[in-house]
Amino acid sequence: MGMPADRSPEEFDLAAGFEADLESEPADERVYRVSLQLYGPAGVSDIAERASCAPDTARRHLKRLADIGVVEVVSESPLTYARNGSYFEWRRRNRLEKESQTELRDRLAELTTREAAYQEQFDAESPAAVDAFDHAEYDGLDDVWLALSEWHTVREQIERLEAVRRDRDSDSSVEENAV
Amino acid sequence: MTGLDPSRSVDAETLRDLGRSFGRRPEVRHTSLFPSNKLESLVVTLDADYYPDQVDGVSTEVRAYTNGDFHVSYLESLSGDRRRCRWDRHDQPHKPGITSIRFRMPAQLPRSIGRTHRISRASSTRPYFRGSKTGSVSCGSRRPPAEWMREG
Repeated sequence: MGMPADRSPEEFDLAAGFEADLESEPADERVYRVSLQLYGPAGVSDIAERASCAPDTARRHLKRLADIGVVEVVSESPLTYARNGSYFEWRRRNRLEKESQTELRDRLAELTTREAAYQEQFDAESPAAVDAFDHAEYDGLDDVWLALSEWHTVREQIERLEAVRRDRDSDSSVEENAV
Repeated sequence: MTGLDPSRSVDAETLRDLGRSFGRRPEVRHTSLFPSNKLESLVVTLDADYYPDQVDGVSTEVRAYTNGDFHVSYLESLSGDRRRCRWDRHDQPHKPGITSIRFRMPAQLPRSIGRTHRISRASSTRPYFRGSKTGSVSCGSRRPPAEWMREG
């Protein structure tokens, strides 16, 4: 790792260094980063401002990102874009599809064990059925929320894995029928 | 979770991207995305050599979600004693439509080594950590980068 020679090792300024790194990146990477965080629709000039680039530059990169699927056009006039959640979901499933049946089974078993532990901890079937206030004094509320959020993510991962396994089963039965 | 936002999933792509950026910094010892016991977190382990000798471990945990929520914990281990600051932004489950951005300091500040923890109302959206071997650390305060903020 090592310290850059022009800086005193006493100096710690992660924030400024981090910020300078981001600013020195090429415009396409800055637009990509902003695109990931377009959780709601935004116009080209707004995106350009957030990515510190010219609107024409942003427009060009956004068009390319929309072609790939990272963002989607939400409205034409005015032209707005948002992160395309279904693209990232597709990518995640795609990655899982490349894993072996055994890997998927092991991962599913681990997640199911984890879900069972949450069900026992909160004495409920699903995170939606839990009132965080029933489980925490004020100080502990954040930790309860974080745990419930993780539980929600566990369930999401279980659903994704099960969908991939279902697809695989139906694919193999199609193949069997074709033979 | 009561009132859980259906559009709220872990923003794995943003966390991966942040992890790469943190990983390039000399102040960062290593980063770990979704370690097995924290399946929503990017864990950034900082180089404790930048800190006073009493500090044996420093790390930051970042969570980001696709509805704009985030949660950041800053953890310091001071002579074996764990301390934590947190920043987060999330919709309040019991007050739909109301979003809070909060900053919490640890109950007891490490005064023994003369550090300062500062926070102002306007700064609570952005964690910034500065430390030095001379013993000052502040959790400070700059304009949040646009990508950390959600409009409105």
